[in-house]
Amino acid sequence: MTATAAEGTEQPLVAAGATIPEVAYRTALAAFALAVVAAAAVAAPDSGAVFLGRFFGAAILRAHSVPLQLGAETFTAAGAYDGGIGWLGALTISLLAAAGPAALVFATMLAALATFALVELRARRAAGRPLGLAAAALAGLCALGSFGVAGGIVTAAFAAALAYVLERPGPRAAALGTLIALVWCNAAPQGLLAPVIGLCSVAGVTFGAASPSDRRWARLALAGTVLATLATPALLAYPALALEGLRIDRALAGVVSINPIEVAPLGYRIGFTLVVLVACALGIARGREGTIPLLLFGTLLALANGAYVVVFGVLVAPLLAASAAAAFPAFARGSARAPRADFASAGFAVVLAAVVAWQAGQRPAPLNGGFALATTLAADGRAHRLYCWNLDWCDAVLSSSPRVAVFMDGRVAAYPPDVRSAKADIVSVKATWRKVLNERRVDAMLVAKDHALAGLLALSPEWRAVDADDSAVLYERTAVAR
Amino acid sequence: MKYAWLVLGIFAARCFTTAIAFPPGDGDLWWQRWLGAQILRAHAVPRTLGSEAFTAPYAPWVPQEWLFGIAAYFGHTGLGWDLFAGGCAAAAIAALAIACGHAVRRGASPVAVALCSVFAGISLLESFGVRAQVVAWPLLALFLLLIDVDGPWCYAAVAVAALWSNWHASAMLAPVVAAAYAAGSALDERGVGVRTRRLALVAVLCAFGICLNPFGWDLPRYALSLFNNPIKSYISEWTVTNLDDLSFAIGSLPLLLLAMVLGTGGGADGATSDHRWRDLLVISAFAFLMLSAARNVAVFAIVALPIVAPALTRRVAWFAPAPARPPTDADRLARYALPAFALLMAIVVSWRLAGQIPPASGLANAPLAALGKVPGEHDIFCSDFAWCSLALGVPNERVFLDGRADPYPRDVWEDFVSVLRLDHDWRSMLDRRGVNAMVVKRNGQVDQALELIRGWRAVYTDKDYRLWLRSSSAGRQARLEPVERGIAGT
Repeated sequence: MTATAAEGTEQPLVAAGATIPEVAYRTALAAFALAVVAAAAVAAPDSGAVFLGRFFGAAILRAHSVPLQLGAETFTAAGAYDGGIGWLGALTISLLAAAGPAALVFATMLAALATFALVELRARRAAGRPLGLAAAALAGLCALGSFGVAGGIVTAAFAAALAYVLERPGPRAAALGTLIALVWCNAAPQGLLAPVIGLCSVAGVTFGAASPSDRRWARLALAGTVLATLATPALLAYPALALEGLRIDRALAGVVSINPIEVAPLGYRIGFTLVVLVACALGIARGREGTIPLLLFGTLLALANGAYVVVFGVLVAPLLAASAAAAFPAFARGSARAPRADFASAGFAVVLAAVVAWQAGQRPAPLNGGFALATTLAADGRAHRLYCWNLDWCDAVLSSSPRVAVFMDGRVAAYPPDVRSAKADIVSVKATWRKVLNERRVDAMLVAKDHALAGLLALSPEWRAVDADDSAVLYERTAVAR
Repeated sequence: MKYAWLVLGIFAARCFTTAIAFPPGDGDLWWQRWLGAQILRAHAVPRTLGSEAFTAPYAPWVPQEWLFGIAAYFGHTGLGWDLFAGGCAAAAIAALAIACGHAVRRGASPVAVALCSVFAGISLLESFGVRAQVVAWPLLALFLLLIDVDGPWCYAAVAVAALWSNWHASAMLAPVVAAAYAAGSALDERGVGVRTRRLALVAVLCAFGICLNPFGWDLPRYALSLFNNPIKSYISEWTVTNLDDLSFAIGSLPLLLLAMVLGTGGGADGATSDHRWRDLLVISAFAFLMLSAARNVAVFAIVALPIVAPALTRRVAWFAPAPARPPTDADRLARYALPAFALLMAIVVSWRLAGQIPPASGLANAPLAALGKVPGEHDIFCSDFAWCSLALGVPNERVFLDGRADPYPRDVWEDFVSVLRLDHDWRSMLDRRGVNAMVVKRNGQVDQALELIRGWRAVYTDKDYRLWLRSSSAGRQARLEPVERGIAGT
């Protein structure tokens, strides 16, 4: 059986055994692109990181320089050094937000499409197009819940690009890898993952049957990614600050959610579990043992913080496609190429994203949960010292009102250990929580409705609820409220 | 197996120490002893909660751990305790030993078995204790070994399943695993051969075998109901596995990573394994269970060891078995001295510990003892429901929720959680349920809340707990109506 290729010539997609018609492949590709675009369109728009990016980006544009310390927007750690980590990402988000909601959605879609295209291309190298698409779909399942500019899809895009580039060492790969790492490190603390991916690449060529030249270029690429971590406003401090910013320290579990089931429940339950089971079935193919470090790194990273389940999918799915190709050669394709059809598919996906993003931008979703209360507080015209149970809510306040100072915001890494531990104490309602709030002169509390802290505040005469919605309650000190 | 004996010895020493000298602090043992006493007194297994549970008197109950409860009753103190707790330790080590033997039987090299047994042993540690599920571990390992036998011995797995169902409801896994094995065998054989038919028959017989207990069909029905039971979200053992669980992080996770790297279902290794589909289906099922709930970390390790160790032997040259040669003195030493050393180590530890009085730890003994001195009837709420197990069988004391957990209806659980979360109606709920005594963690959220409201007074405080009583009889009056209506309705 043969299939009709996009060029109009008869082109078998599969080398031997079962064949998959080109039209079926293209239809599946289009359906996948549609699913990605739809997922990105419905992703939550009110992520705290978007608000924080807008705030930080606006500060950069205002000062024409990158602030390296926390400012008066926080009353617990004003002046704490944060090295301007993520300045480029913040600036980008700020500019996109200024262009309107459709621009943010479109950027999200492009990041998602680029991520899965890179996964497909990487898997295709070793396993052919059908298995390449399967790998992209597998990675897509790991991304469930991670769509959104700040939902991890951008991290996944950088990781996918770097893994793709470094898989085949050479001068161009070393240069491009260094450039990607440079941009990534300036865009987010997750740039610290670049040298680790570079190290996995070096391990791959060292344990595999690579030529001395490949090994040399892989080491150079690693050196480039390491040096890129020092080329940020934080200079030598970046690795230490970024390591904190990765939020993989178990001690942070009391301050922010890091366990996979809390951060990315769908991606973990469906995508991660499925990839693990497929890996148990296929393992790493003989001759590709060099990819084992990448598999191990991806798995441990995802378990350390659920935000990286999507990165796990991006890094590991192509390895499994290669194993599937070795185990089931009938599904692996030889060398048939259809560049024109590929470009047409990419064009279709981008146009689709633009149309859907434009539509989504016409009707931006209303703010929900604590975000709405946070913006209400910011708009009341008074100065406040605010504690947020969910740090994302405080991020929303930062970008809305200069009069409200927060106990802690999403830049957790920059806050001193005593503030983090105080935050954890309040979250776990330790006996000292009242003392902490009094010492820090907190006068407003934004708390999850179903948390015991809300119940205790309701019983405390010095606090009164001033507003509430379906998921959060806003309390103010009674003196302030009066 | 020669190196694995040493590993087993080390874990045996650790388990015997933990079991005998450091009994569990979760309260389960208390209600299980009480259950054992009930069974011996009535010569029947209770099928409902009693009036000791004032929130759900006479609610249906499947006391799946009935046999363990009887053993717990006899093993209350002295030599009985040493034998009982030591028996649980022996069960854990037996599970590990059977899994190691299974791996050897499937061609794993001694080094591979030793390495995997270290990971598996670590996986058992956090779940280990004097608990019913520990007794089920060797039965699971034995079951897996027997269904892997290509011959009539395979049918012995049915007897194991029946025995298993009398110790723990996890016996429900037996027919599922056997069915998965049968399906895998059909795929491995590319058809329905003798082995597949035999395994399918074993699966069917196991489905009946797990009903050979005082509960009959109710046991598998109860086990199935747990899958969608919302109370799981309130019990720490059922929380989704994460890296904070050391048994997972440095025990089962390495085994899982090895399985992911080596592949068990045929990938590149399939050509050399005649178990590819059987192994894949079984390890996939247990990997799924392990990633879903922390309590499955140990059973995953028991299942994974006999699958991963042979794969490691086949795929990694360093783990390949040494070429056959006449045994040397060192081999003989390893064959006999290591097991002897392991046994000796376990005996010495047990001997040193025997006769010690188990210290009570992590349980609210003191506040409940204080409550016993307060005259009148007490309907108790414990902020950790397991603490209330200690009040079972105590005259004039009834509990809101205790360590039996499963039989309590959903509304009781919801009310329990609403108190812990201090929901807006938590006080009215306590009034409605008629709670007049509360044992809470000192300075915990409920303790802090009780300090802020009227109507309660602290009558006992220590460094860990506080006992609160209603300061008026209003709660008592409020209690009588709903409870009596509940009794009348059943």
